[in-house]
Amino acid sequence: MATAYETFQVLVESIMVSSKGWVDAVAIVSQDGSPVTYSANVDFNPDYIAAATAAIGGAATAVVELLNSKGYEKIDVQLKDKRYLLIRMYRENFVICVTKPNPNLGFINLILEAFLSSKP
Amino acid sequence: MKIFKIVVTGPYNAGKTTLIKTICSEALTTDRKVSRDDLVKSTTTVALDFGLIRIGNHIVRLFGTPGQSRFQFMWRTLSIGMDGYLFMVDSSDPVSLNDALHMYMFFRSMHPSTVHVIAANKYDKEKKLSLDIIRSALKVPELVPIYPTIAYNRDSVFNVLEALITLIQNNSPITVKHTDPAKNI
Repeated sequence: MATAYETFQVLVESIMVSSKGWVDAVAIVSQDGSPVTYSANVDFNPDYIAAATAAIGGAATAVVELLNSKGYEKIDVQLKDKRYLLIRMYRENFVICVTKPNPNLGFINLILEAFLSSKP
Repeated sequence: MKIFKIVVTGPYNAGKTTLIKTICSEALTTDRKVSRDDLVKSTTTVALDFGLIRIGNHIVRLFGTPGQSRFQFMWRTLSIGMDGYLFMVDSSDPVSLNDALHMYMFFRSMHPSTVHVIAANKYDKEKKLSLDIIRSALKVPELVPIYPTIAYNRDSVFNVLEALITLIQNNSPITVKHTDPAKNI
């Protein structure tokens, strides 16, 4: 039986392969800010990314609560170099995706939705 | 090898960012300029500080919280899954103990059995409060050690973190009789 880590590793690699080169890095981090697994074609420090992502997620949750909403679906950040930082929730973890500049965002969103909405 | 998550917390200007920058060669910080001029320093942490260090055979992930209470939501977020916390106070600033008490009680009510130590920072300053006064002002249980600390001194920081890791490894959760920290908030 596959461990959670193996399952997550397969997931990030599947996203990387399926994204047809539009994605430079995918990582899964726990809500306590620890890296679970990642796959990247670029310089990518998982420990620091994980800590910062947990902070982003926490801040977003705080805003959502102030707006009396039930939660958020996704966080998309457009970087100045036209890359995107995409954050999604998956099984109580964050999935972080860093794209190439000017990506096919619709395609990447479809890929993420397909992989992250599937039942474990 | 074990990985520890340690939260470094305490009120504004207690020295949390300095401590993490001192001990971690590559610290991630989120300092931003303060927009008010009545505060005692030019920048403040708005999200987190983060750094990695090795203590013995262990990896320690340090998460520094913002000190201002308006960033209280980050205190909760960053403390998820922590193994222990280092609570810092400015031992040279008696006025800051009020904010420190509020924050300390927040952490004790949220995490009543989590191992922690108190760092009485800026202990190299001439006008500093004694450890007994700090213990009394913050209502620190006798079981919780308070260490004189100098956040910009690497040895001082290392010693206090090493002490905290040892406490965590000895698995000595804080148990205090007849204490309801939430009442003090």
